[in-house]
Amino acid sequence: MEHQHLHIKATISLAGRWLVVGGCLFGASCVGHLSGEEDGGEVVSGNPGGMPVHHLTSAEYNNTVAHLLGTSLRPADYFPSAAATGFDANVGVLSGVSQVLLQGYYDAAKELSTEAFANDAQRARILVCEPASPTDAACPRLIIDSFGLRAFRRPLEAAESDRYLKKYSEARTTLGMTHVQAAQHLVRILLTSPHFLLRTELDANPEATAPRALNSYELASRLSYLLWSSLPDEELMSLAKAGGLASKEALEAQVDRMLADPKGSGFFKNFYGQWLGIRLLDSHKADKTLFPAWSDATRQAMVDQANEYMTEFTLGSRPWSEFLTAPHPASATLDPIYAKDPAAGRSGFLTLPAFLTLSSLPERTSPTARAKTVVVGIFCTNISPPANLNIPDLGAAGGDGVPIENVRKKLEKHREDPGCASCHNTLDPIGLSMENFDAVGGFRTKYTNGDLIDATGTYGGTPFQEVSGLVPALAKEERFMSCPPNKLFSYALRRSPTSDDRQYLDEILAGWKGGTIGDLAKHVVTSDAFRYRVPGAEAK
Amino acid sequence: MKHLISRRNLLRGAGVCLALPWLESLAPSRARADVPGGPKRFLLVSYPNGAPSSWWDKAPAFGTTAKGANFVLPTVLDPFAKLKSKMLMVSRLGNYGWRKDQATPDPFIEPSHSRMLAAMTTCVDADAVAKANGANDLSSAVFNAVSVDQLIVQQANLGKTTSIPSLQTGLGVKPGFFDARSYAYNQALSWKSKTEPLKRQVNPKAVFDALVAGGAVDGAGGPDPESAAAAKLRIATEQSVIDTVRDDANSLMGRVSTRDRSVLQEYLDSLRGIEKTVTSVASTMGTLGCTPIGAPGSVPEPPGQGEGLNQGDNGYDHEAHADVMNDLIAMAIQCDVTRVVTHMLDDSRSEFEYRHIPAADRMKVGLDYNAGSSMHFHSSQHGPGEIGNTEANGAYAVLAPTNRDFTAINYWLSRKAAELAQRLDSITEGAGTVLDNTVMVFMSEMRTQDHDGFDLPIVMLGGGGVFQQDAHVAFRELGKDRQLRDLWFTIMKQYFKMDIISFGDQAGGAPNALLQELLV
Repeated sequence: MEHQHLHIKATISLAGRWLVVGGCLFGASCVGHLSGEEDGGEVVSGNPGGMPVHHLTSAEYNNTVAHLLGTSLRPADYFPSAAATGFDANVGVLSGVSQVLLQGYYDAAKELSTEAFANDAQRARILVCEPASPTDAACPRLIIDSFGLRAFRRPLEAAESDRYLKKYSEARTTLGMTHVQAAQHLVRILLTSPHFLLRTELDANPEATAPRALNSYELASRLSYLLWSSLPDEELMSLAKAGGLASKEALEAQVDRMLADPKGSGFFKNFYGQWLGIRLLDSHKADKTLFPAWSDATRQAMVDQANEYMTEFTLGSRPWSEFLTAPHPASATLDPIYAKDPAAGRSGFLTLPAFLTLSSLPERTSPTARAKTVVVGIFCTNISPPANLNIPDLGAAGGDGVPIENVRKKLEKHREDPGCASCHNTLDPIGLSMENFDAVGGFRTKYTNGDLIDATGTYGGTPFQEVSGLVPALAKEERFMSCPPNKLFSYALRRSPTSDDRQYLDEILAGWKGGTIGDLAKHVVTSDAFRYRVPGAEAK
Repeated sequence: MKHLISRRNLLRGAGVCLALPWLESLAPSRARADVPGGPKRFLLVSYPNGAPSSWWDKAPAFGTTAKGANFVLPTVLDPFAKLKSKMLMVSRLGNYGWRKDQATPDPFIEPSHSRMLAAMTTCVDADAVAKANGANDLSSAVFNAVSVDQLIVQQANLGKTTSIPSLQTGLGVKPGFFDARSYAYNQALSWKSKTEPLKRQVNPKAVFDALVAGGAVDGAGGPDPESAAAAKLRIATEQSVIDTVRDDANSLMGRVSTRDRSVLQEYLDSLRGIEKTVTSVASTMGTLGCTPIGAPGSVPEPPGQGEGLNQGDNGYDHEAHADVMNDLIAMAIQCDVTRVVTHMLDDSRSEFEYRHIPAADRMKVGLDYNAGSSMHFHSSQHGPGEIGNTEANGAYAVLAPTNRDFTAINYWLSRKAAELAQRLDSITEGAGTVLDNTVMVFMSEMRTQDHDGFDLPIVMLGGGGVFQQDAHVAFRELGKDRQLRDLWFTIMKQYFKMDIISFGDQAGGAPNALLQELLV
């Protein structure tokens, strides 16, 4: 299908007028900057789509209130979660506000505001002034404006500020509250407001079909929820105020700063955590009777090691092309897991204990799950079983079943079914190549029944002995390079890429050329898809 | 972890509710005045992944009924022994007639876990509804139909006289892969409208808070009616919050695209529900014989697919979790805070490992070894065991008996449902018990390990005067069987006297018909 109608060209002046109108997003005057009447500037082509109104994920809510209020409460751990496939930040699943969810928000706002005002340090951050007199309106307005700026991730409009000030006065009079009580009441209100709970990018003309550039506050939020899973900090907000996020260089500098910030752990936990599955380790349970090396400390060490491994690709200079071959960060806690490694050692993501464990069942390895992670996660290739195929399991639990000791034999039997073979002929060589590593990542040469492990296979016509021989073939695939842009784009834009996004993805890939993930983040945030929106875009 | 979820904490105060059965003479007059003969209730308790082969060990031949002494419980339903006289087992009922993508509906569909669960209470194909509504991406679409429990709330007026129209609870702390569909098809039984799933709440503290807000007073401090002045100030404060954020949402309305307005509309609709609760004057129901349990501990919502709690994590105990939820459901009903409850004993395609199942339960199904087995629900579903789909001596042939891990899990789930039923049966109401005035259905969305949508394992309890009791009704074999939509239709029409014309879809367009075999 051709998409001629989407090749809308609009001239946007990023460097000129845009800086001036930084904070005036809501005013009618904003319309002008889209018309492209100014000095040349850049051209946005294609359809950058939109980011529909949506609520925060549980992780984002918890981080946001922690950074806004200094609280250690985690109210969202008890909110209903809404997830489907892909990242939990996908707007497709974040655009519903059920009564159970709103009740959670409502109660949390009450609890959080109460806690904030019972705690001196927290309260001091909110009460930025002392009223000069009982009728002083300037101080309450300052409190409202400064808290509102941070909570709503944008300056309050004058009318909003007036309305909240009126509520403050009513609280003083009608509800008989003191200044401090009324301020707490307002904090509670703001934390219950849709402006706080929802991510909104407001347009002067909400049904417009022409792309418009995001203002600096909107960019600051997109950056901070991408890289921190939280609200913008003071530096971002000051930059936003000064229009300092308009240039690509400024955005790139922020990527460097923000990923290196401790809050960058949000990116590791939520982006890598979900993409590569590392987050699943928190809930993983290996069978300790079969794998004595397994413990909570081991699990944590695996997560830490995986994050350290990814740090090289994120903050360091290690290019993505080495993702399957880079050396493992040392970890004393994990020494027992590595103890039986052959002299040649091991390297690359596929032999990290974290990956080998999270892709296993509690009592045995699952070559299919391991291969699926490679194909779906690292190659971005969706696989689905043939329609109406009743997929038999290899038989794992089943108290009276014979435990699977030689999973390769089981899979060979499984492949005899032509329905199973269609997927497993592709998956099994990849999965079985890692059979020398048990369900917690320890090296082995035999199954428990004494059978020797056979990790050999053929991939793309080339035979290999075990995973290290397979890796070069995997790394040669075009999909290996095109997948990370796809994943990071999807995570940043909060949607599965559409056909309209193709051109942006191609541009990102061409510019990135398989560099570091930090580089990739820069290409994504400087992409037109990230910096522009079509107000009336339909969510796909 | 800050929040304690240990057995001790979960069970704090539990049991008080049952020690004090509802005293007829003290019952709030409004709870009864509206319904001559006592209030009617609907309770649906579900478990995922189907039943083991032994569920049908004692089933009567296709198309026949076994009553009284001829009705024998299978071992996995032993926990219901004391209630056998109030029980109706239903076999050979399918739920696949809604499939319209084939000339003849096939009881096996993919993805099975999500679509079968979504269809259990609606008997329509959620995927087809989503497509008909223009959803491009089925993995995030949320469309279904109004579920049977919500129709009962809306049309039998069961929600009108109670402060909480219906309650959705569950024990799913470790959901599995969602089958490339929304959570809504894996963690919700109740659908208020075709786009509004009411997700199950796994957190006992949240359920408790909702019940207290709904009028059940915290038993720990006893009834403490707030003074009129204090109540007035509290309500004015809540109203101030609600009015302000409502203005915020309304002012946002005009500034977002048509599509985004639906999000804000949901916010506004949900806000109205909250307003109703928080601005009401606290009920004094607690003084009238309903003595609620103390506040229970918290259980966090599992953050995503394959994530959540394992038995023993931070002291988490699944049996205690199940017990406190039973306490809360009994409390909700005893205090007449609600009359419609759906309770999911687990999410569909659960990844939970039922390691906590005590030896006594394991022994019942012959699992007297294997204390270290992971008892992983979904893996055991795929463990040994197979039932055929062709007739053999009036039943389906068991090609290989279901493995004992899966059977033990089923036994445990049955026991928790039976314990809840017994609680309700211990509360006297009029000449009978609360259970007598309830239609309780205990069932799974699929048959067994094969993920098939025919021969669903179903047990009904209560429903006195309308449904047969102490009986096991078996419908005919596949192809000549009856459909679940007719069971819901029969319950709505005959028990709740609803003026309902049709429920669920049928590929051939056949109208609903009562399941006469089940009726007295």
